[in-house]
Amino acid sequence: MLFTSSIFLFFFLPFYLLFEAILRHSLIILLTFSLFFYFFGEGWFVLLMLASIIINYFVGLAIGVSEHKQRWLVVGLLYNLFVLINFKYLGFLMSQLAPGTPVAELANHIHLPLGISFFTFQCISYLIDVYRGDIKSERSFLKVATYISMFPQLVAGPIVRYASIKADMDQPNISALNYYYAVLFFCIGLGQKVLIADTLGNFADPLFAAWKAIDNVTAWLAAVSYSLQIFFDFAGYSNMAIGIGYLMGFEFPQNFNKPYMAKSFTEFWRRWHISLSTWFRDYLYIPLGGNQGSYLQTYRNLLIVFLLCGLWHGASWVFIIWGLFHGCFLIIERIGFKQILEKLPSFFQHFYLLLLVVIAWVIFRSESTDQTITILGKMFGFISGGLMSYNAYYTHEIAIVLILGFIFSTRFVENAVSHFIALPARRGMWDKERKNKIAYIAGLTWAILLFCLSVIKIQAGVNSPFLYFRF
Amino acid sequence: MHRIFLVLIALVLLLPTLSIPLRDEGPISQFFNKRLAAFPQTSLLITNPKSYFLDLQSWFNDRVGFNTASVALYRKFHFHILDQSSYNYISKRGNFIFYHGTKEKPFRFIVADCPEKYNSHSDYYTIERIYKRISKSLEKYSARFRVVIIPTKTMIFANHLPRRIPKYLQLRCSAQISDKDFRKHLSETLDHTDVFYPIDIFREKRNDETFYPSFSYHLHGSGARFIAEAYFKHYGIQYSKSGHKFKRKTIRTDLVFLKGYNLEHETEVHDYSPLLTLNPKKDEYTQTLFELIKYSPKVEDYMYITNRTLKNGRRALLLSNSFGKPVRKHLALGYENLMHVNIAQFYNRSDGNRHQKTVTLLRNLMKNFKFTDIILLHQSSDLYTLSKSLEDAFTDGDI
Repeated sequence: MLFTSSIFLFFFLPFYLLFEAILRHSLIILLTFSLFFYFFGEGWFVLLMLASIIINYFVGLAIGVSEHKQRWLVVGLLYNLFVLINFKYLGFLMSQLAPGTPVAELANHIHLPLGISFFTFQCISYLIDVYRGDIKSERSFLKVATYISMFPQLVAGPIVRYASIKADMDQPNISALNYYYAVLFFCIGLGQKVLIADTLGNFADPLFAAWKAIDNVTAWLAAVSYSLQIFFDFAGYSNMAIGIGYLMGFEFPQNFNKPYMAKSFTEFWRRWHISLSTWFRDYLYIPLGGNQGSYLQTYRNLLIVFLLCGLWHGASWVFIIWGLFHGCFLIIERIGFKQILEKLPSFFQHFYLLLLVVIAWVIFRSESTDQTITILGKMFGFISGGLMSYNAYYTHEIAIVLILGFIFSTRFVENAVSHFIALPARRGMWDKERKNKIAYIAGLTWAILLFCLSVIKIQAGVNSPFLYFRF
Repeated sequence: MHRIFLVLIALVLLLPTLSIPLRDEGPISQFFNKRLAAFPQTSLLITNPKSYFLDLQSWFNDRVGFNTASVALYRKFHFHILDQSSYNYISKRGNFIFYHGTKEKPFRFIVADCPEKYNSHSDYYTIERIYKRISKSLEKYSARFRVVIIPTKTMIFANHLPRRIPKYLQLRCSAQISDKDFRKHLSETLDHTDVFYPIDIFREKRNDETFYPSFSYHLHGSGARFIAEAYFKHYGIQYSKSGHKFKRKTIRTDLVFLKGYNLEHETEVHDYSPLLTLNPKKDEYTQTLFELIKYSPKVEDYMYITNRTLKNGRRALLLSNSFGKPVRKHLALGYENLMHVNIAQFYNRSDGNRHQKTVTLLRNLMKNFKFTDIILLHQSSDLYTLSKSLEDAFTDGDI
């Protein structure tokens, strides 16, 4: 069930809110709705999630009380990695190790359950946090089950740490201001997804599909449109999840912070998919030694992290190349390029980052290395363009949305209106400055307008599934 | 206070759902030009819950409140503010609209309307084969096979093509290279078939606003009447004179299902009620027609017309695409009986059951009713697809 589907907006969500209101933020209700949400989207694969809940709950308890904490942690990690590898990577592995064999054919048909990467990573983080003593093992099965299956961030993040919502589970954080932010986050997210990402998707998808035929300018337009599409798609979903979280009394972590405003890859990864990059930092990069060892060890750690980060996004060579591409540029920046960059005017720093990020998205979006090479070749004139122009799919709406996409991926609008509208504050989404009442009314008006426009577009049947659902 | 807030939000969001039982499905079905999705079978919930919920979602989406209003509003915004319709791939320039393609194949209709060179068109060999087969099948019934081709708007109003249509296509359409080549080639390859293609006269009449209305995809009014009269004259068919009594009336344009809302324009509206009876009750033809209708989503795809004033021994089966609807009453003036079947639905071969049943019924029609003329009517761009859709029904030896 997509957040942007009519059945979610006009049936699932209001019924959930009614039960929330009547039963005063009951975790049982949240768990029931979450399991139903997954059952709706994935059918009986909900049993896989239930198995993960039960196993991680008991392993968590065992880590908490046993003298053999490490053994139990290994058991838990092995289970979670087995689930992830079996459902997500086995097909790819077999196709590489034993191509064309019946086993590879069979493995290719294994269904990838929605959001498996997200809830498995949450389970792993829970077990490691208990092992490290950062949190106590949770005795309440209801709380662990709710944490793992919570529907707002179940299928596309953000990846939530148990420590960050434990207090809210015990005592939901309910206030008028939080409800205000709930409405605002949800509607802005909906608008980002439906009005910007989906519109650009309608343009970028057919252009990427016609990669052999498109001309040089069209290759650039396809790459830029997709870069904006994936940002607004993912950020939109995260914002909707954060908004629903506020309605429930939970504060989910910020997942995006204007990533295209970054001036280097190092900064980009502090702003893009923050919950994933911090997860890799805390549970992989630092345990590997982080930057505490020699230069070579640090570079090795970075490459391992970004190789796995690429693989996390999908079982395919293009994702591996994408991850290594980012990892390599992070290393180049560490070697000394970042110091050179910082001496350049701000414009060149942005240009450097955006150019390389767009190239990386072409790798990410392509379905084969052939496609990547051809599109990049056309973009940079190494391959002569085909006869197909962007005209075939161009509409005035796309031109308008492209411009809006550029504008809204910067802080320009937020800076311009933040004195009149109580938007999430300029310096960070979590600064809750009390503004005058008119600013709140203006914020609500903006949210309602976005909601109405999004609903019109959803009903017109032009929305597309969330890109991140496949991860 | 917080709980009241949640309840209020929930109630507002529930409004579209609560309106579902109050909505009449007929107009929604008509608006979306499809049968609305059925409620899924409960047994599916256990055996294949994912499929059950997908069906449930389709059922919900088809009926949820405000869906038609939202779609209409969205398309109006595109059409009037952005001066185009991205959703339906209708392009507009000034008052002229052109249906140019689909998302998968943009400009496909413009390409079909304005092929680069007609006599190199490989599809013609297929068409020739199909027409030969149809003509041969009809020989034993002494029925004539006639093809009426309506020039498309693209060819008549090439200078009004929207600027977003690629230049080479605009040039190809406006070059008007096609007329003579087209007719010449048709007459050479389809020598056993009567082909009627009145493009020259269409171009003469293009400035008559009621002939080929700019806001409409199909031709109406005087254009439809003109096609029929020119056809009768061309083949020397005696027909009932209506006295050209008509009113100028404002009617809703077509392609509502593509545009999602109505535009209005003025056209000739002919009243043939003193001459013709539509779908007469207790008639064998009508009963057969009702059988056909069972397999069609739209009743207007079929019509049986009897001419009370004419005794010329001619009975026609008019097989057409959507262009048949505005022309059928005018053509009925030249026949004692005329049965019209819109065979464009045969395009959808994925619905095998409906397709097969309809084809079977069409064969029965040919066997049981002694039609003298089989008329295939469509616009020029549909020459291939429509002929191909007939192939199954007229398989050699089956009729």
